[in-house]
Amino acid sequence: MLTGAAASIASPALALQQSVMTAYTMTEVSGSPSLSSGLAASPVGTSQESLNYRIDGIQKYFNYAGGVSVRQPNYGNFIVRDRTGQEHTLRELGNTGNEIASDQTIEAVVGDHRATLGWSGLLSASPLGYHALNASYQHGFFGKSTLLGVQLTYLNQQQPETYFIDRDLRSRSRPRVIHGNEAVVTLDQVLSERWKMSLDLSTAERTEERPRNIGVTLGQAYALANRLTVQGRARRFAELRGQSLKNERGYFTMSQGEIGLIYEPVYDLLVSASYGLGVESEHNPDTGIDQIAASDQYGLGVKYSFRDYEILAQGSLNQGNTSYQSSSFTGGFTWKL
Amino acid sequence: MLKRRIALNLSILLISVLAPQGCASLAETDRGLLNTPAMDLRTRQTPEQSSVLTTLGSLKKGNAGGACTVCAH
Repeated sequence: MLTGAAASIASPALALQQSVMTAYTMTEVSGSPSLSSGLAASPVGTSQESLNYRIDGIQKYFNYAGGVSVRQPNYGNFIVRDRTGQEHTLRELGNTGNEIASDQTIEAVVGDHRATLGWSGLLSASPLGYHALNASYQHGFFGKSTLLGVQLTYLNQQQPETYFIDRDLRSRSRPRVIHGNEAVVTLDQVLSERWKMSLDLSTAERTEERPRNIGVTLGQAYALANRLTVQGRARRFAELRGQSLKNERGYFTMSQGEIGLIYEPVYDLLVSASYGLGVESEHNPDTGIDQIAASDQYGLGVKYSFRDYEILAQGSLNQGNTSYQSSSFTGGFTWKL
Repeated sequence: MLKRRIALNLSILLISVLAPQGCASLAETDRGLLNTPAMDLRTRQTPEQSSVLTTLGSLKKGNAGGACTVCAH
């Protein structure tokens, strides 16, 4: 934001708003979510420090946001199998270093039109290196009480060399590179002066690894009082059973529901609490094995804005019906320049 | 069959005419509460729900966090 003498002679079209954000995120994972022996997944915990920068009002219509983060993933539980069937963790294979990631997004807002173009990915070597391109367009109708948009994502992800036993009892290598794509149609709709909703219809695929899936996400927010808001979300994703399976796993579905309360005890201080229930299932037509995993997630959040600063803290605890448990914490600070 | 098709087409036509008119009236809605951060459905106040068994619904996150926490292998 231009200040002082510069502001008195600068036209509003040249006024820029800048902010710098720094955050620390930690995720701890323990246990195995799978119920059947031999189908153990690979939980990975991580800690991450990030620095982000945002500038609004470039040439009147453009905004830019970018960031860099340094991650310390814990590959101690990520298991890979060699040709002979011997298991090793990625940590044993020497993957213990820090990883550097970056993301960049450019946004253009002209009247009721909004478009974004972004890139994210790992800049350093990693057994799970990736980069992703995403683009979106959104149009507002009826004074922006209706927002209709589309989002497209392309993902290129590396995977470590590892082998599995397929349904014909042969040892096969998993794909070393995964190409993913996703398309989402989004709708945000004002329903009354206290009530709004969001609806996402999506389809995505990890081409070399999983069948295509379709999903729907419904969100609702209602202001119970001037300082109390309730939010609810429901999601349902399912892999298409008409498509062939590409590895030894079956068809997955996922259903999640979440409800949260957000309270503003004083101006610009938000205190949030949420509870979510998730049910995921796998149906394998070859083995006839079906398994269901359920999990509870409890979340807390605090956000406080004062003058040119904002402080954020969020935490969650996720407990599955197996031995699986994960927790996360994020602390952030934003300075509006 | 024909009656069912006519009924479906009339329903679609009715919705196509009435829905925009209903939405147009919402343009005049008081946004005082709607524009507060607490009512923002696209910015979360608590961490997003994580999944235990699959990576469904998480592709746009790439490999945020260093790796897929649970890979459907």
